[in-house]
Amino acid sequence: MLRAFARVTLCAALAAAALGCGSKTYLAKDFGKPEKTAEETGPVSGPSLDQRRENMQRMYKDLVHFRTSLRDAQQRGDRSTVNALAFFMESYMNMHLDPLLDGEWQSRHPELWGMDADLRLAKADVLMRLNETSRASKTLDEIATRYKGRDDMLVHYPLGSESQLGKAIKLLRQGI
Amino acid sequence: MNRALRLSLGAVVAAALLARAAGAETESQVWSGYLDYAYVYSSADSKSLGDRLAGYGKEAGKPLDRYLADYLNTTTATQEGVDAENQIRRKAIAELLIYLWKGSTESLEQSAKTIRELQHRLDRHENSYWYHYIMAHRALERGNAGEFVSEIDDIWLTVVVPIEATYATLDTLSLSDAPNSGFVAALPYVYENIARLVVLRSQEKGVDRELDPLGAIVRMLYDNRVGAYPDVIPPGASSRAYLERIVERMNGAESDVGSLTFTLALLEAGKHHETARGLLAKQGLTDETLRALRTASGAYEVAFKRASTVEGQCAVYTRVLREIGELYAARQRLGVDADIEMSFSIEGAIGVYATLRDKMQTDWQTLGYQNVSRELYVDSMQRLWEEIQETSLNVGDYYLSRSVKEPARADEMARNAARVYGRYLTFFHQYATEDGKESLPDSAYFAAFEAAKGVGNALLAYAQQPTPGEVRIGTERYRAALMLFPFDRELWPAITNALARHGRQSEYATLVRPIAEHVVRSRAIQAWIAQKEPEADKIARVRKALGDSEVVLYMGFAESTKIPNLEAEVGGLEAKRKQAAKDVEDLTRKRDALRGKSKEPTPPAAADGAEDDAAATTSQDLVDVLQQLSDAKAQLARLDQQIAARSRALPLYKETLATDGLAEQLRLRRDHPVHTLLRRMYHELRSAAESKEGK
Repeated sequence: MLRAFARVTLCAALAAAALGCGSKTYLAKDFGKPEKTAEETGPVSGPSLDQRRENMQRMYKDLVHFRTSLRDAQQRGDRSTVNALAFFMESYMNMHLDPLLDGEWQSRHPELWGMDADLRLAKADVLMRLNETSRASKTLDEIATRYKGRDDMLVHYPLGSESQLGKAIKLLRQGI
Repeated sequence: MNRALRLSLGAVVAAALLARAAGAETESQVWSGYLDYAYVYSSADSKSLGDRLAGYGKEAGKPLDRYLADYLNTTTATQEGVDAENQIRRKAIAELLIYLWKGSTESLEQSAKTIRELQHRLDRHENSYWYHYIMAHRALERGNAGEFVSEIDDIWLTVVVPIEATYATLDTLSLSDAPNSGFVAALPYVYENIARLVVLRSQEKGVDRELDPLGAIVRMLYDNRVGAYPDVIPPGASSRAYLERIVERMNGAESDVGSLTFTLALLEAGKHHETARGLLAKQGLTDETLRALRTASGAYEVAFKRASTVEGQCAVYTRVLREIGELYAARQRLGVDADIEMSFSIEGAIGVYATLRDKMQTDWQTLGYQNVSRELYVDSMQRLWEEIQETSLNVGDYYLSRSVKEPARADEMARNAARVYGRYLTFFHQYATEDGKESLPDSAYFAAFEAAKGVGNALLAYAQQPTPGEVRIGTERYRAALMLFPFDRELWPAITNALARHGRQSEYATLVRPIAEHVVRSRAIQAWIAQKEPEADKIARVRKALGDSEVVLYMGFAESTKIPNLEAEVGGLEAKRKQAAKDVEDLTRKRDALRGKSKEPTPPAAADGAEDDAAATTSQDLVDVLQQLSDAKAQLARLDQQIAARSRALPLYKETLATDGLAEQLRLRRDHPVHTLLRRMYHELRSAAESKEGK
């Protein structure tokens, strides 16, 4: 009898806990709110490194497409499209890109730092095109801090060509 | 409990269960499964979707609409937790499917209402996907582009990006289609469905504006997403190819600086144009064809309105002119006088070309070509030019054919034709200049020949009562045509005929000699022959022939079909010469005889008077014979000359037949290599004339 009671109580407690957790998770998500990914604690290798690299590559290409679309809309003088794209890109960066770039380790990982720097430069470039000069400047400051002493590292900037990191930062700052 | 009681209790429970089963339907595992995987087939067209749902209904033993009414509508309110969430989503999906199948907007509204019940569970990707997918359909149904864009952006941000990383990992481990992979496995279909919604459904629903913010998503979908999983979605079932066309257009010169709205509008117009073209080929100019042509024209108008740059306007005109040209060609071919109201005209296209050309040496990029090479910008101009030339020629030909069919209006129609051809000629002479010649296609020069000849034909062959001024213009246009393309033998006698109409045949040689000289002296022709370019041998033969002034006369006054007669005449001349030579011989003998007679002594028996008479007669005979001999010798010399001239010139004249058919080849093939030669010849002549004027 006691055993049966204990089972019922446990079930009720689990159900209550589940409902409690559920009520938190069920909250409507705030659109545009950062969706932070867990920061890896140390250098990764194997599939998880591959996954991170693929994510970074995909996001880099996404930023290139954003940049192209933004440039086209600006050239057409299409303000409403520029605004809509800006809203979308801001959300994309807040929700997905910034959490990915939060981590420190990928800037130190020899297999990722090139892509990491490219991604940050591409972000700064997009921000500049969005006239977010302050944020672009901040992004460039962060690149300079993270890659201090590595100004001669080759990066993919301007798009479609290669240059040294120091020169790329300088070019972008001149744009600002 | 005794046995009887137990039995009676059992009977009551069974009856209660049966009663419950009769009152409320049980869940169909078949339908639940198919609704959970609806992302696989929800983008099918309504007919295929209907067939598919009917098949599933047979399998489940109940069609979807009945299952929805009997089960989903009655149970979702009574369930709780995950089950309830699943049933709500399935119900919303079922309602969406019925909308997609039958087009009932009520079902779509119901679907939107149902899925809103999951607004608090959008953290679950599957819910979020269906929520925004249904709302996107609703936005399209309402024609609200802004809402549609927003819903698609939401799918991207809350579903696509979050599951992409996981899918890639599972895919690497070959687990992407494992049953436990959940909605992550749907990613290839999510890509496909978004693509179809944006590029196809939006157009079907007439949302043809303000889609440009989705340009970035379309580019991302194209970039290793749609079509990247052929083992999941076979290439034939994927929208990859269409997406490729769209992105290529957006990136190319047939764009409006990468505008998605414009690209979709122009592609849509192209589809309507294809339909109209198919109907035209199949049915001719029926009412249905005319409706289709009007639809296509309307779609081009939409695209034109969406164009915010000259690049976009050029892209629309390049395509819509083809439709105009096809319409005129069909009207001519079928003899049907069908009119279609269009806001496009050749003049409008010329205006767009003029704008493009004006910036050619300066900031041409500002016309919308910022992101393409100069080569592509020039290519766009050339393509627009080609359409202007082809449409002009088609319209001109149409009016000529009308002038034949309606003799009472022959003059009016011929003048219309002359005006259309003339407009192209003016356009040609305005822009075929040394500094901007690269903006003209090679075929523009032969088209100018056709137009010039067309003016001549319209005024001299088709118009029944041309004015003296028109006769003069027609003659001049023939000459201009010959300058552009001297290898058309029909034109040489056409010029003599034209000159005859105002009694100026004698001017023929003066008029055409410069043309023949140009052919003989042309460096362009010389280089063409020396480099053994296509048709070089035939052109060399014609050039040699035109170097003979008698051949030039043959070209104007003889008819090529009568070359055998001319050759037979040479035979006749030789017979005449033989006779003339014999006459000369006979007369020489006669003269000699008469001279001998006059030197003989007079017979003694003859009387004085008779002596005098005889001497006088002999002397007169001698004079007559001498005159006849002189005439015969002159005739012989003339015949010798004629025989020599014809023996030399006739074979050369025959050589000019070498280029017969070349005009037809050039007309049929706008990429024929000889078009390049005509371009060089024209500019050689034009720059020589301009430098002469300069001096």
